[in-house]
Amino acid sequence: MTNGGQQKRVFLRIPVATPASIYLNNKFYKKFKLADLSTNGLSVLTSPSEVLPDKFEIHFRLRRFSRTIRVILEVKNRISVSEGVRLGCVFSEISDSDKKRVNKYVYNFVDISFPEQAVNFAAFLCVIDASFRVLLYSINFYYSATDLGRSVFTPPLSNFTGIALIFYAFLAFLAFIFSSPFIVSKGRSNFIFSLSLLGYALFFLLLKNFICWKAQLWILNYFYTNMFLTFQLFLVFYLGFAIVIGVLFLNKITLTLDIIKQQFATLKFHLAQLKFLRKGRLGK
Amino acid sequence: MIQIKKFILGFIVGLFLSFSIYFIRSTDMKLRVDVGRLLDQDIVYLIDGSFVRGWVVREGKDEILVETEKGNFTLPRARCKSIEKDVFLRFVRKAI
Repeated sequence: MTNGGQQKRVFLRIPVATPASIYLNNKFYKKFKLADLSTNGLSVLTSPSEVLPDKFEIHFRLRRFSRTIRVILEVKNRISVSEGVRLGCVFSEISDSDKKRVNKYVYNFVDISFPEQAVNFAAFLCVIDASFRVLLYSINFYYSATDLGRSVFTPPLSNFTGIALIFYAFLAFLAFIFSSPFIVSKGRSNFIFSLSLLGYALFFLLLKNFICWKAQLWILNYFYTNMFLTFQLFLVFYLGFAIVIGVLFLNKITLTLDIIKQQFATLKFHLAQLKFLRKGRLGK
Repeated sequence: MIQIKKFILGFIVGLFLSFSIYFIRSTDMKLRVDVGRLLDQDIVYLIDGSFVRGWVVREGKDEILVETEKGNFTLPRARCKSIEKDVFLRFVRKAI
């Protein structure tokens, strides 16, 4: 963000509710709660009656049993909130190892690439599987329609099979689009939508695996047919895994997207303010 | 990563589509006949545990005439355990 030729960096802040010990003149003063943390600073919640200096030392842990982080903070702003006063601070002095740990913690907190990639890759495999099935269906349709070849003893496919297959292919394709990181970043509903689409795909593939097992298709023992059946079985397991991962990470995805959305809205507001101020200056 | 996935997906779907179009539009009947014959392949299971892959041409009371890629031959009915017809077509129909 630029501010009259100066560049103001924007850091993503994540909510934390960790207790922190404040030290004044190398002596323990009091315990407070951290409100949020970024790679550049943090904010502390204090009571309105509390007066803290502009520079102080703080000790806190990122996790219950992790090493204590020691930082000297510089207060940048004091804002009254419903819980008290929120002190917005930047890291004035911090060791390289502590800085790295904070960076890693913030990055891991907002990193949703693992569930995103797992679901997107499952949808990707489903689209490949669906296109191969559509190809087989069209070949089968061709031979049923033209009666090419010899006498056929196998009963023809019902219309329902074709409809279910087209539906599966369409939903798998939609799931692939809706689980792409760009679309997921627009809102968590897109991710939930792609998960529900994959739910249908899982049901379809479970049914297909059951039919193949019931018809004893493994008996054929051809390399290509066995490869297809193995892939089909693998897809069921992977799809199940991706759906479980997606559901387990749903809260994290919601929280991360909310943080990004909220802070992006604040950033947009500041940019609009700056634009307005600049216009005013130019007008004068 | 997502770009690579899109590229692979486009390539595979494109490959399947072009094969389907080639298969339907091609004037060369050999490919269609070959695929049709493959789908129509039968398996004759013998009592000794082995099996014969081919096309059952005629099923008589005492013997079965089987056409294979190596030529035609007759199998005594007593040696046959069972016959599975249109194995690949059956596979395709169950699989899709």
